[in-house]
Amino acid sequence: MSTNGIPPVDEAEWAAQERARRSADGGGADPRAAAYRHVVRALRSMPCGEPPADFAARVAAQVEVHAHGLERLLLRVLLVVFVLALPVGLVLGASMWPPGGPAQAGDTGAWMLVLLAAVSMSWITARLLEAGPGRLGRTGTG
Amino acid sequence: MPDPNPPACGSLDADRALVAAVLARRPGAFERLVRDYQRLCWHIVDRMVRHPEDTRELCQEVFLRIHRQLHQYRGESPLKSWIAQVAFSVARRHLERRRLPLAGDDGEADGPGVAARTASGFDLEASVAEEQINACLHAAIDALPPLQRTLLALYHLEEMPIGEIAHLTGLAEGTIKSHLFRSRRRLRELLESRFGGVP
Repeated sequence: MSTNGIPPVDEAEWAAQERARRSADGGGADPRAAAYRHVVRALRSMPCGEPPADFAARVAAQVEVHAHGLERLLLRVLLVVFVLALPVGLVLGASMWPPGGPAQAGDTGAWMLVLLAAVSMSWITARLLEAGPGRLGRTGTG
Repeated sequence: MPDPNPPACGSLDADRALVAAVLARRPGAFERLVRDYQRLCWHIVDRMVRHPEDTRELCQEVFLRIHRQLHQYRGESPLKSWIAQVAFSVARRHLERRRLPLAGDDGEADGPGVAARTASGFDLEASVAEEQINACLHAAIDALPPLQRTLLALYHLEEMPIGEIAHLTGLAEGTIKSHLFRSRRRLRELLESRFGGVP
């Protein structure tokens, strides 16, 4: 947009315009402002379209659809990642397993720690998923 | 439990409370935000694009964008100003995409511009009733370039101060003042050329 080269304002006439703006419905003996009162009244009564009565409800509904759509998409992506990661993890895990099986791998305490860590991870993941939709919803349409 | 002393509507506290409610996904909060500001948005976009269907779509886009970016609102300026800024920016981008002139010719001469485009449909011999004057001026305002038309609406209809208009349009205050001045003078000149010395 080019707004360069706009000539300066005639301050006396600007003042008349502003006087007309402040007293558009009043009288006054100011002939310079009088000419502008019609302009100001017309500007104030400019017809303008109005939003439909259900506009706000429609937009709000659209936002909900967007937010939930993204949540569903993210859940699907996570599911796909999980399904793909599962066999990979099993294959890699099996290759690292010591010969003779887990019973000979070490003491029971270490395995209990592993089990505890797994349960904790599951619990944290569940809490994150519970908190997730709200957080996703706020940025969900982006 | 609702606050027994809710902040006054339009105040910064009320704006922050409304934004917090939307961000907390409180039911109905975003719809309320849209309802509170839809007329402002509609007026700005409609003044810019003058096309009902485009206005509806662009206003939807404005509020979707506001919903996406609401976490960026700091609550340091009125929400009204921020929403008007987004509305103006969306409408301006729409005009630019369609290669439609935004500011148009703001030259001295009235020439064939506004006067020529509003010449038909007015009986110069008829009495100069207020309705006729208004109709003539409304047609002339409609024929102004989008930027000038919108600046006049923000200043006269929304009663925004020039500083606030400068903030939301990204234009210098002097530029806005100049546009307002020259647009109003052109309208006055048109009035005088049509109806002579109107009372």
